[in-house]
Amino acid sequence: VIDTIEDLSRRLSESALSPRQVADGLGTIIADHGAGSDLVVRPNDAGFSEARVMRKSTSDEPAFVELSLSDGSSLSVADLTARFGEYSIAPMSHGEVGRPIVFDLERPGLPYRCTLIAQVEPGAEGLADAHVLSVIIRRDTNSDD
Amino acid sequence: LQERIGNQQVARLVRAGVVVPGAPIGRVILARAPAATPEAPVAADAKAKPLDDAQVKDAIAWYRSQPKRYTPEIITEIQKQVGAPQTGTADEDTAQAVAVFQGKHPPLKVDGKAGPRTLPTAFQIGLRSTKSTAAYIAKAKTIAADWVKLGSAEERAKALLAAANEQLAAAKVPPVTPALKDEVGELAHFAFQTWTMVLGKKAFAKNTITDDEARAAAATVYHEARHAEQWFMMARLLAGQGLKKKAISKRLNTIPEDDVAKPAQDLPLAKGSMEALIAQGWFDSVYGGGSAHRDEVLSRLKRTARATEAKQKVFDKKEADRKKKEAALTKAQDDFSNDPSAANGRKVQAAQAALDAAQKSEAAAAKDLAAAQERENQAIHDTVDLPEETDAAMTHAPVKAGSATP
Repeated sequence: VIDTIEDLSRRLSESALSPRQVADGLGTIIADHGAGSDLVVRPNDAGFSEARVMRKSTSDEPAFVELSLSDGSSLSVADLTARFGEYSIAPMSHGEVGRPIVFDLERPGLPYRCTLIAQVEPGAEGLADAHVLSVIIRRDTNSDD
Repeated sequence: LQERIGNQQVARLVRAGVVVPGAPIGRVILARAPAATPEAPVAADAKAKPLDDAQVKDAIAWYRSQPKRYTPEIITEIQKQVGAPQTGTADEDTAQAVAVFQGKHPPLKVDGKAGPRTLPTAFQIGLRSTKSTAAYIAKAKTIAADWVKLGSAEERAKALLAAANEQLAAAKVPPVTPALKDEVGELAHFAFQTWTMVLGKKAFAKNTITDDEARAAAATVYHEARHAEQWFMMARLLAGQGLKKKAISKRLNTIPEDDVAKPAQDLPLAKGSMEALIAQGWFDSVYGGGSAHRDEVLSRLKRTARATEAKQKVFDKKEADRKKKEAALTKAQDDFSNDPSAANGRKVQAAQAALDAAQKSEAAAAKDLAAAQERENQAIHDTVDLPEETDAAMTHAPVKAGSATP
């Protein structure tokens, strides 16, 4: 599961892939909701039940990829921290299922940079033993201006 | 949030017989339903003095304790908007005129302080403006009329969000993309990290729509679109402080850099402007001094909603058990009528005792449910009282009033 996340973020950061190329790289496309909307994918990695590749509203570029974890699979905040480093806690929105935390996956020198937003369910010890409900990888161009 | 959760749960309690319509638990929620929004400067009622001397003193001290925010220029704008003499100094006339304005616009608290809930109501920008609201309502009515023709939940949600996006575009806010999800139920939320509006598929999947449902769907989408405008204003506030897109995104933890932070960077809010002060109010609530309170309130909202659901399940079970026992007693009584033997008499007594116990157990479950509901009501009240939620909730009344099917 975590390898799939890292691989996806690397691919998104390295080159200008189309949403369909991103979807093909993740698994089998089962629905395409057209311009400005998403492609729904059955992932090759059984750790995920579904992936959605969202297009930008203004162009045929991937805006973000959302990965939903399978019922049986487990991913903890500790797993993410071990692979991607420190996270920051984002403000909640009413209606959200979990609690959002954010990892910066910037890779210097690459044309794009990714941000990982995980929705997590805090455990008895809060975020320390929280488990991950879903993961979003958002892509932006790697420039400061 | 207030109406969709609140009314739903009041209805649930009414069904459960725990409260009757109009009883205090219902009034707590419904009394806070926002009124129609105002518009142009109002003429203050020269005689109206809603505040006592202590409140006036408190309000004046409040303005004076924030000289960098409530500059003479800002105070003058407020005075102009509420119909007070334009002196540039916060004085009794200003506090009283602000209080009069607040009194006309529930659920604003009448305290004479033009803070983060009052300012967006007095200075209606973007989606709060009468023009934007009217244009959106016109589109929403057409969408409700074309509901069947649109054919799918996705197309209906897209159409309604496109109508909201037109108003966001008019306010120079980047468009929001829809994300329909099965598990969201009837609720919706704006996900600023991806600039998407997450909508419950259920509300858009029905092939026919009632007036009430059309109004609720239109109001929900507009409410969430207003959140997008709030977040963009906060990004523009940071741009006005000199931050570039990467830093803006990071400080707002996190917004799309290319599609949202960059346009905000190109549209900075002028320091000291009314728009900047309004955006600052939201920023303080979400990211500043109010963030711990906001976090506690939203966590409590989730927790209490889950607790109410759990208590509701217990109550439903007890209610079903009581009905079963009632049926058993009726049968035993019928048997006794047909054959008044001692054995059947004992069966009636046993059935009556079982029903008594079931009724007692149901009453205890109803009490627990009412207590859980009260805690959830308080959480809903506190959520709607957050500045950004008060602001978004105040778009409901005009949208709901105007967006029924034609």
